[in-house]
Amino acid sequence: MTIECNNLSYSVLNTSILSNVSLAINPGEIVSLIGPNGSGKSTLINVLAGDIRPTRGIVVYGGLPINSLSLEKRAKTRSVMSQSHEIMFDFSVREIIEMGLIEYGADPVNVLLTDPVMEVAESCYVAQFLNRKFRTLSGGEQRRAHLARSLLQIWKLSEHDDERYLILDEPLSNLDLFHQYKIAELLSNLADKGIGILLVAHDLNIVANISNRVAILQQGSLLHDGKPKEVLTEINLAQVFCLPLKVEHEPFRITYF
Amino acid sequence: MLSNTTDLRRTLNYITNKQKIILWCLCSIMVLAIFCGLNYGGVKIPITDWFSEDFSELKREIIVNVRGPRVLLAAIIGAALGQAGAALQGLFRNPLAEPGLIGVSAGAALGAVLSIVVLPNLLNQLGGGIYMTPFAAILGSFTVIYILYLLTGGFKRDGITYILLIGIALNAFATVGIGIMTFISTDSQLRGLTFWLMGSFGGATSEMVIPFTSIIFISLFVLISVARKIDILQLGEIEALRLGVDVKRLKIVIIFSCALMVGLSVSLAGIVGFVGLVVPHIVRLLGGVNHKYLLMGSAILGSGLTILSDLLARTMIQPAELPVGLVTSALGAPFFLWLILRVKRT
Repeated sequence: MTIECNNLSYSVLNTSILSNVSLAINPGEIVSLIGPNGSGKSTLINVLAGDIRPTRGIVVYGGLPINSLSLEKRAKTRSVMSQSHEIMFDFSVREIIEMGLIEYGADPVNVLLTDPVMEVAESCYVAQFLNRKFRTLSGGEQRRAHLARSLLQIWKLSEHDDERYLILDEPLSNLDLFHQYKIAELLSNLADKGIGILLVAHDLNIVANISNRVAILQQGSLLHDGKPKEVLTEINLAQVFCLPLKVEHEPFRITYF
Repeated sequence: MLSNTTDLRRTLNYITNKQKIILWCLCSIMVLAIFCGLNYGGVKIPITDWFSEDFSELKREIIVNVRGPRVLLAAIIGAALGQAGAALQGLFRNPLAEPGLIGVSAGAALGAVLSIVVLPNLLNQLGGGIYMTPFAAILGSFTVIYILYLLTGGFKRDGITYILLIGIALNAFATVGIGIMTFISTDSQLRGLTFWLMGSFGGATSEMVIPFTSIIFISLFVLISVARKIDILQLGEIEALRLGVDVKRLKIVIIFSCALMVGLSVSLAGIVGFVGLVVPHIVRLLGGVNHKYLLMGSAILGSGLTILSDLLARTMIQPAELPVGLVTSALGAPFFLWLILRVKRT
């Protein structure tokens, strides 16, 4: 059971944005998607999330085509975090996070036993400003609050083994070093609990160290898809990013200065 | 553990205790306004008279047939406009959207005026004449919201000023249309231009007020039932879709309810401006921005404020009467200015 797409293409006005992309996210696995700006990463996320229909190919959640799943079913299966809109009204951080608590999702009886809002807020380091106005937060703090909301959307008590996925478009952008590290660690822990994660990120060192698989997208095509050490090689990276990057394996790190 | 449970109750009910208290306070203001509205006017009829022997047939007549329907009309229209303002602001994700400012009310007025001037013969033939004008008004407000929707790219372009500017243009178009229609019509066909542009609760008759009141009531509750979805819509359309909200259906519900409420209000009382702007903002400042509270609060405060505005309109220059829209605009315009400065700062 996975989220996957096969030979997927998407074009707008005869301009191809994605061509023949095949990608699968398995439960308990972090798949990192990297690539230069404009390579189609966000579009791929939109297609996988079901926001837009691909021109060719289909997206499948656990064996079923996404078109056959209700919006509710999709919302319970995966949550998506991407660059967000400005929010015009003064919601508190708690209210924004609670928007992830979809009525038909978390079972009220189970929710009464623990406080999922507090749990996700603590794991994303936003618990200390739950009562502040969302608009007064800094960019990085807002990202963390949105991440907490995305986690709450697929929050379940641990004995539930329904499949759940996180699709994250640059969750680490705007975060300081401490929070980048901690959120990366959080993602690893979530994967260990069986959640499948698709991560778009630009920090190659984080990608190298937390991913189970890395996929490189360039001009709408998937160039490579495999284990980090197989994909993140000096040759591949030089070809995609047009920079002489240096890759060391013990410890696994990528430098460009 | 205890605090967790209360937190959760808050989540599921989605109105805090503080907000409940505020709603009750607003309710008492409304009740007070209703009593004031019934008591004062050309003749003062104190509430103590109602049950005394002093309560003459004339006074009863005034309360039951003149002030009663008028206060009821003001209350229901205030509720409709207050809540429609809040809902449109939520829909457009724009704190400055207001039925009067963005042309929705003017569209309704144009629809009403057109139906009276262009279709009088048809109306007479169909028999249901008095219901044709409200229907045309609803169609008018619906058309304006729909054009706004199309021209703002399905609400995708969410700059505050963009929607507002398009709304102002539509407002101008509709106002010109109303002007032309009132100019070419004969006096017997149409009430004056001031009625449509400035509003009045003077023409309330129970055969119009009662059916429309029930329709507006239903719309009020329909909107409150989707309040949480309107909250989620504030994250953006795509985000709401990803959270399982059927955004298209939600938008249709909001547009229809607002068109219905604004259309009926305008056909009953003309354009009463700024209620939909001032009221939701006061309610937000008092207790928060979640739409369940906001929509309820806006309906309640809207009726209170409108009853009081009408009271001012009919008592300030006795024995003459001011158009009620003049009073609400006089209160609302400075507020609007303050709001623009405030939005610009943040």
